[in-house]
Amino acid sequence: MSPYVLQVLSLFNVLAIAALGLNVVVGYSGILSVTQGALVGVGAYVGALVLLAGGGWLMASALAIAVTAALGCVVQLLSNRALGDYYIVISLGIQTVLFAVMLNWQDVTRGSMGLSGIPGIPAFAGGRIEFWVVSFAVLILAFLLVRAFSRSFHGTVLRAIRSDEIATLSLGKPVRLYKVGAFVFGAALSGVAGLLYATLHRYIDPYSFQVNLSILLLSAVIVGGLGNVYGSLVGVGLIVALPEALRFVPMPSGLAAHINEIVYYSLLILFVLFRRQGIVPEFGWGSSALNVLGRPGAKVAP
Amino acid sequence: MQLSANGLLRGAFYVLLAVSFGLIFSSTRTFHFAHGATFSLAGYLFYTLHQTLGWPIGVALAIVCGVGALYGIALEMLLYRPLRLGRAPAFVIMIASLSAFFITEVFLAAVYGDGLLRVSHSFSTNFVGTGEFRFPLLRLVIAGTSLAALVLLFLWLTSTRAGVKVRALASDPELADALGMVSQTTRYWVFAVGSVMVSVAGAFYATDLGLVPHMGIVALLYGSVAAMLGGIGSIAGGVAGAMILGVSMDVGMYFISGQWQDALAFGILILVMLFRPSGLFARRTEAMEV
Repeated sequence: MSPYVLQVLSLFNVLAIAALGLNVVVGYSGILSVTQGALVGVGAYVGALVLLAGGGWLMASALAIAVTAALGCVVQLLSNRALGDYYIVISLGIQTVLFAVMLNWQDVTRGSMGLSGIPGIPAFAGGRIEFWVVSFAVLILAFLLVRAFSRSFHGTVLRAIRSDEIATLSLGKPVRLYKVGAFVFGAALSGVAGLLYATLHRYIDPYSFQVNLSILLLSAVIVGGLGNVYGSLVGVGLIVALPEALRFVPMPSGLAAHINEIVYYSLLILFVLFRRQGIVPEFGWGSSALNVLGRPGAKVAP
Repeated sequence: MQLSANGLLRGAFYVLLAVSFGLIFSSTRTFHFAHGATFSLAGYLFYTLHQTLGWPIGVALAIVCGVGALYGIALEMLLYRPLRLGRAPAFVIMIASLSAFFITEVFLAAVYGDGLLRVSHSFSTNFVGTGEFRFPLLRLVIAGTSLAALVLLFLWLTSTRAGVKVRALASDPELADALGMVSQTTRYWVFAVGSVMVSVAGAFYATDLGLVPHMGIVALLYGSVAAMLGGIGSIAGGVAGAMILGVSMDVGMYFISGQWQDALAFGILILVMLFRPSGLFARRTEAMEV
């Protein structure tokens, strides 16, 4: 396989892991987060710094997961009180603050120069194939974890919270704890995705982890179908493949530079207007049930 | 002193953003993210008309406001209204608006490039005042215009039929609908008026600090942060929120370096949301979610 195709397929694996994490947060739990991109960035920076300091793979993965999970916990505790639209603004705010830290904490992150020379996966055959194999294995693991989670008791309680927070509270479920737990799970998956992202590109800079990445992941899970594990894979597949395909269509260079953004924002508008349940609806093809986007005003506990 | 006076002038600029954003948000329950795109669109259009084509300021400004209003109305007509009729929750409308915002910004970046463009005008180089108190003339013009816009908005809301309908829509959308007081026209009015206000701000920004493609998101963030600081649904709250934001940003910049500006604005918002989730001066303490 050509290096180009392998690169695209590897990027798919990495983004799909992050999207699965976001699906736990938005799809199953109804927490409308736009912080995921920055969390991927934090995972990437933590992992890269550990690797650059010679910390080894085990250490890098453990720290990337631990730091993003802990950060996710703090983020959700901070923003738990905000409701509805306010939540998204807070979430956007946290995304902006984390980006500012990545950009401006120059002693550690080297600011806009980025971190280069990040060691790749130990190579036997050129490095690209090994990376694809490793990232694919991690993706399968993440997929099985999220699927098991969605079918578990905890997944069910989260869906109950999503449709009616107050009713779930009245059943004696610790609603806040569940929401924080879901967010931490999603954040940990972003941490893993971040570490893989850093080793895929061998170079990171803060600009890769702006709000655009958050929206890219959000549009992947919405287009694919919120609350459905297969949906996240389909959505990421579409969002990775479409811009690559459009690269061969002639267009003005000003637009060509931004083709990725145009594709996923247009897809987002179209799906939000015409098919809010996504390509794969939450309860499978046959069901007409709408996900968290489809119902007006789910009740939220004050 | 000089610092906080500068902060107030900075705040006067945020007022236009905060009050127009708050007007749209409180009366139509639309998180109009693309308001930031109206701002950039107006700025770039003003640049083209006044700087490149050399049209007089008044004409250019009038056209800019008209285009801004049309852009706002078009979004309401093609995007928000269908979503509202499809009973979409607030989050969905916001996502749609966010997408419209970014698409517009991408097209602006494609047309105008990534560099800084600034409208040069004698306003921006002249200073008034003496000694410790020296202010750029342009900033004073901005403050004056903001004040005038606020007075006009207040008069419109209190003493015209359309304005009263807007207030009815803001205070109880269901009741206003049930009584047949409010039609879609009222919502178009809201979008038109809000967009004109933010277009003026965009034209000023083009002259004052200059245009870069991502300025819309910053403008929107400051506008919404200021509106939320003050509390959605009250003009006075929006003004106060903008002033607090302006002064605290200017004083904050004195102690920490300028690159942390956005982080600081959001730090303030997160603090306020932690302790007063409905804003500092909210009239009602109910959640926005209906």
